[in-house]
Amino acid sequence: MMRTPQPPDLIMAVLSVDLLVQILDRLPDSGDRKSFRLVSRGFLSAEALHRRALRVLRREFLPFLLRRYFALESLDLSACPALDDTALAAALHTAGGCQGLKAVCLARATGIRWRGVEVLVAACPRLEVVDLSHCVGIGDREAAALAAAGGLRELRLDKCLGITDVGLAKLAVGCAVLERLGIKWCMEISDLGIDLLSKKCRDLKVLDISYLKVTNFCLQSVSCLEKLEDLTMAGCSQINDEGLRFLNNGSNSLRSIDVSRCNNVSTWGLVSVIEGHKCLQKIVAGDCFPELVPLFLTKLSGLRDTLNVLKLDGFQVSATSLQIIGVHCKNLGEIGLGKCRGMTDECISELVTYRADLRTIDLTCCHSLTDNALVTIADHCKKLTCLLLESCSLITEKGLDHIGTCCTDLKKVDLTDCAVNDTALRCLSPCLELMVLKLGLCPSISDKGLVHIGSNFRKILELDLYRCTGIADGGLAAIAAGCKSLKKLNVCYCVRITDQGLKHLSFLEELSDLEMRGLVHVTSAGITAIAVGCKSLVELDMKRCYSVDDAGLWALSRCSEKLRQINISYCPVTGVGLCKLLGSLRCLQDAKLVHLTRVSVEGYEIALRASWDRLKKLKLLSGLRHFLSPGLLQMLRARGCRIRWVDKPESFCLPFSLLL
Amino acid sequence: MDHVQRPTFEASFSMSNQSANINPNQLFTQFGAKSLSGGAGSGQSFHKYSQNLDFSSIWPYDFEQVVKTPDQVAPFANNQMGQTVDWDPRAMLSKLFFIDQKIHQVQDIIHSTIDIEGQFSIQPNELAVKQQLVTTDLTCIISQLISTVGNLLPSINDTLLSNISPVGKIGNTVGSPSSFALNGTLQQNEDFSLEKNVVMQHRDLIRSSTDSGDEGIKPVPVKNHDVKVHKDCVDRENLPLGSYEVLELKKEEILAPHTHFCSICKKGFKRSANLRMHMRGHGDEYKTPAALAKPRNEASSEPVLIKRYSCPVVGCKRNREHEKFQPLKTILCVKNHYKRSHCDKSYTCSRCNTKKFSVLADLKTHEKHCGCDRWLCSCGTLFSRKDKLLGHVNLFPGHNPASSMGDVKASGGTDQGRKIEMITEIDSLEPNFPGNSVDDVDDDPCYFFPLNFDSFKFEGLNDSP
Repeated sequence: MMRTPQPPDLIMAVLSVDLLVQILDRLPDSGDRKSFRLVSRGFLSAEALHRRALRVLRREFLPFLLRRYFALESLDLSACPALDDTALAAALHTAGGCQGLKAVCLARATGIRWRGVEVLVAACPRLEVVDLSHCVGIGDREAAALAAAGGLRELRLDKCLGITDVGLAKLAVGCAVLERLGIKWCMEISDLGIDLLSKKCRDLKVLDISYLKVTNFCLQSVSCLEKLEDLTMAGCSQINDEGLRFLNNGSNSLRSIDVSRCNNVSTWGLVSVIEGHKCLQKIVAGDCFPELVPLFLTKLSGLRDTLNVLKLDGFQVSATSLQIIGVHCKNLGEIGLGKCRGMTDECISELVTYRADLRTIDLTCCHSLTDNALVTIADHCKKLTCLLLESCSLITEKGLDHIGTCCTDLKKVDLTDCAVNDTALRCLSPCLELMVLKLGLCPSISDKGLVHIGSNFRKILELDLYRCTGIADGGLAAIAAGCKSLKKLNVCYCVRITDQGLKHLSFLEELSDLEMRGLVHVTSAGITAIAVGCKSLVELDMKRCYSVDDAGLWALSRCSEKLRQINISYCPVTGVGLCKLLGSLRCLQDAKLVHLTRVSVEGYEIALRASWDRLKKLKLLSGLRHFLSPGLLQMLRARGCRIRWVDKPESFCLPFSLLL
Repeated sequence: MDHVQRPTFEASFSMSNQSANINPNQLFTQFGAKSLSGGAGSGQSFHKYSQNLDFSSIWPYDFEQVVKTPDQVAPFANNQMGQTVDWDPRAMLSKLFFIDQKIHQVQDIIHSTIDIEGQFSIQPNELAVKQQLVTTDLTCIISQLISTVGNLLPSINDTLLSNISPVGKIGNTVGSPSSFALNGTLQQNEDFSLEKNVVMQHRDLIRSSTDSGDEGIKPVPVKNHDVKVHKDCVDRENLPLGSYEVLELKKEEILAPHTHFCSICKKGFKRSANLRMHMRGHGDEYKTPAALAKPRNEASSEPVLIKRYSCPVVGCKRNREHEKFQPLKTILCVKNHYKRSHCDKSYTCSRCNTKKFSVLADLKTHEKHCGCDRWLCSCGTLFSRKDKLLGHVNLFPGHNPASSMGDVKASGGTDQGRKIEMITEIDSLEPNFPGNSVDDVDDDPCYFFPLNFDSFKFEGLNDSP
């Protein structure tokens, strides 16, 4: 007992706190940091001194963490389950306020209401960044509480459905120094609110008004914001060219504009925007008007030195138009040409011969492209990092061979639905930096191809093998052996995979997101292996794994501590397993429980009661609506849980519970 | 009286002559005989005009008819031609000389008024006439100047002739009724030359100021004629003064419940149609289609004097003796105006018990929106419309929308009641709120084991459910 504190003290004598802090500066990896703070109390306090950002995964530790990490500047509570006003207030109360806290993320924290916001604002006087997106219950009252934070610079309110013009007005009056504001999907906000906002918050630099029901009048007010740099208004169908003409005055310093999916915008509107702003760096105009008229292309030449990103998804293009773009836009780094009609190999060669420094090329759904296009891309764009070729079904390994040998910087490749085979994967093997690879719907890929992946792409983070029916356990073994840092894996409907394959996957400690729908040969033994091995698992989708039973759920509830989202629809689990799962997983927030035929109504009832207050989203069969007790549903709703009732008929197995 | 009148008369006559044929000098040299006859003709037609003067600006077609008498057309044509010909310095000089003379005349008039004022008190009416003459002359000078400029710069001739704006502006700045009327006239028949219209208007005014008293209904002289939109009747038609007949109903007539009376049994009706239905009972002669038809104005063939109404209350702006008189358009306007402005407000809103109205329709309009003032500012001001509230918030720094919107929307009852409700709710919640929350946390067992904390947090698996 007396000895135990001795060694750390000795270490502390050698390594002073400031030296430890210096060491921590050079430790970016969270696992290393964890080992560091487990050394001794001295190390722990040094770590606490050094830490600036914190992401909390459990509600019950929040007060304690806030007290320990007093120097925090950024706090992320988006993954914290069952966080409500009371818990937040208590945590802040025990921590004695967070004087230094500047950024708080409360995205999807549906339990937070105005009292919580009020307490937060009062406790953190230096608050500058707040994220409340997807808190659908947030309304004007919360906005009023938030408006008390006068120093707020950045605010995200995406999909806060209750906020109206009045709430926005309060924010505009209260937070006059606001620089970045996102009010996407706040459907109640209209022109009036935006008008007042643009009069009060003169420092606004970034504004996102996507999908709002705003009209041209709103752009008239927005055009007076002198410091505005980034305007996103995707899907504002009531805005047309006349509105964009207000932006013609050039009184703001617009750098980026997004008018994608604005149905009533045409070339003329964009031309007037370009005329007014000679420094535009980014134009996103996907899916808004079909024709690329010459005037627009010639106007692009006015932006030759600045334009960096150009997205023209869904346009009718021709070789000449792409040639003009290639010749004029000297600084172009990213081009989006997804779903463009008339796209041929010739178009691509016209574009890339002039623009050799392209980094990102999006050619999604350009069905008529062949290997020739890939060859020209490979010959010119040596610095390419991202190449999206989804549904370019004519390309083969020949083209990819050129890409592999020439574009070795590639980080992201999408070959979904391209019918590539193992040879193509071997051709890509020089791309050692590859981090994201999507190979969905390529049934000709076999374990050999996966061996290439496992042996070459060591840095890969995300791998999509959706419906690659050719792969089996051997391929997964190769991946598990090679791709140690893999975080996301999709093996849905790769029906040949068995428990053995999952046992291989269980060596992937970093794996956080596993989708394995329809693996009919996988049993609870495989799930147990995953649960024990993949400690970081956050999201698991095992819909239609018809052989997984309660034992799998037991293993998950015992081992997968961090599991936040689960889909066990159609699995033959019983009420006991479900109850155990929902009752013991402390981070679980999102559960999809459709067609659990062996779970009775009582089973659902008990399981949902056992989940207590952590669930935020729930997907249930609509038939259950009338069988579950109203009190339970009321309680769930009061805790901020949204229930999605689905009405999917399942032909051969009626819900077991309803038959009883 | 004579002493005052004569110089102006002379002046106006010469002026009219002058401006009809743009510069006499030029005309004499080029079309001597014609212009003489034209001058004589205009003299003759003077009387003709004076009969139609009152309608000249409202009835453009009438006006046109009169103008198209041959002796009138001649100077008009001359005028047009004279301007297209290159300018003559001598003609210009003579014009300037004329303007100079004119200015002297105006000076004389003003001097004379001062003299009269010094000697004995004159009637206000007389003074008004004098002022009018002065403004008339000034307008004439301005129009002369413009036409001179037009000769100087042949290139802008057309714009000057066709475009009314410069003259219109000048007229407005002068603020005289003549220029006002001129504006109206020009708008209606732009094709006419400017000078022509000026002449017409001047004659018009001179006639109205000198020959007054001949007829029963006389146009009331007005100094400033503001054009504003009024509640009682939207009167943007810009009728020139004297172009309409002003009627004045008696107080009893206005307030009478019925306006149509049966000639036989004296029963009153609000609507003429009801009267006609009633008349059927008095005999078969009232049942003919002609008797039952709506009595139509035979006015369609011949011009009818436009009727406007004056309020019987002296001192009211709607009374014809008010110096900024604004006529009422219809009898209904008179009724509403009289009730709103000069009667007691007998209808009270049953909801708010504060708003009172004298016209029943106003009460009904109010009751539709009463209690809808749900947009509240932090300063306590209530608004019925959101945009008004936001405009207010924008105007006053520091104000912001009050926070009770959601509650107000949800609950019924009066506004004050709602506010109190809201406040009590907050009061009851806030004080005990932090206490509650702390208690909650104290119950949580994890809370007391700081040493276990790390294992809980970071090794997770040891944590018992």
